[in-house]
Amino acid sequence: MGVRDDDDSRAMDDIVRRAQGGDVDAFEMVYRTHSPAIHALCMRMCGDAREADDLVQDAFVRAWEKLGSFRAQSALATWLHTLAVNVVLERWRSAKRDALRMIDDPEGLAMDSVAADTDADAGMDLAVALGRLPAGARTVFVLHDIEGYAHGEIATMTGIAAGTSRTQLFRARRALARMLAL
Amino acid sequence: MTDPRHLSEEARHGAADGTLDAEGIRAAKAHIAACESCAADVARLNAVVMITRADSAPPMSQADLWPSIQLRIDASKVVPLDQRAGATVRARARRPWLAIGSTTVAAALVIAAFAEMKTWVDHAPTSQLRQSDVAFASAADSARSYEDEARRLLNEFEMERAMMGPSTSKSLESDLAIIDASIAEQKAALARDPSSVALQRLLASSYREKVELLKRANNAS
Repeated sequence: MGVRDDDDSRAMDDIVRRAQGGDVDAFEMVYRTHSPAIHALCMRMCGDAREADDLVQDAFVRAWEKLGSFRAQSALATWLHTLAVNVVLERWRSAKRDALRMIDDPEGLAMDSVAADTDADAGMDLAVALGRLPAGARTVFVLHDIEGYAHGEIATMTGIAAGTSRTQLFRARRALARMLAL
Repeated sequence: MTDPRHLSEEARHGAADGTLDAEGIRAAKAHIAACESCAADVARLNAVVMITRADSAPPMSQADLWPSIQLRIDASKVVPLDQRAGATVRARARRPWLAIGSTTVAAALVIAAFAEMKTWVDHAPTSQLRQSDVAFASAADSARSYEDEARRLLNEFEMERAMMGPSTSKSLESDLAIIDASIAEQKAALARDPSSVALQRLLASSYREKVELLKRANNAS
């Protein structure tokens, strides 16, 4: 880490401390710094721009409420990402959406419909292909391959078995390979 | 069923994303060197992993979400009057003149505020409804300064309330609750339509009514 990074890190620590003290302007700086990554996470998880906007708002309002529990030892970005993932999963739980049920889909029934409906397209963008995955497979894929969570962590967050998380990931990768004509 | 002549599904994915342990990697490499089918499949899965790692983030929302977030943060700071009230009532002076019609006045203010919004929305052409950032910022600044003033006056009111008669106090609480409910509705509407100048102005107007009510209450006591 260079001098510039050290300075940036200290400046952000100071901003976070101010935000923890109730300074909304400081919290806006936290938002400006981290919202692109949180938006990307929400967008990838839910596959819908409008819903992603709602989730980003929910995540940052939650972050404001919970900021007192944030300890500077853990990276703010990691803390915000975990919080945002929980916000998405809670939204799905409260809406009783199929997404969570599909995560726990050991037979791969949701994936079968994707295989039947989706033709390979060499020009297809990864984001588009991701959007066509069943929500459960997409969630596991995003959490594992993009966000870097281990299967055990995904199991804890979503309430599925680690083995199911692994199976969903494998199915998601194969569906993506097919859709991207790899 | 896993074909014993080929790598298992888990080994293929592990070889593709590099999560196999050292022994697993050695075994996979040895197999891939001799098996075209598994080599091709691992390469295919590896391509998915590499494309994903190289993929840039999807574009950020075009809307600035901060105003909505700030409104929700501000709304969460609004505490019901009953919780703000001090536990000790020092004296009970009856000031019936404050209570006379105050609920009616407050209700009228809210209705007038909504009527104002309706008139604005009904008669303003679309171009006017999409006011410039300057107009929005000005309305937002107004709302913020009235809100700050209301917060300061509310603290004073808490001090004064202890000396008010119960009916006067109750009546004022009721009036404030009506205005607060109106403010909460407007904030919720703004959360849905964060760039609405009309709503931002309406919010500023509601805070102004709250300020005026609190000023009257504090002066009277």
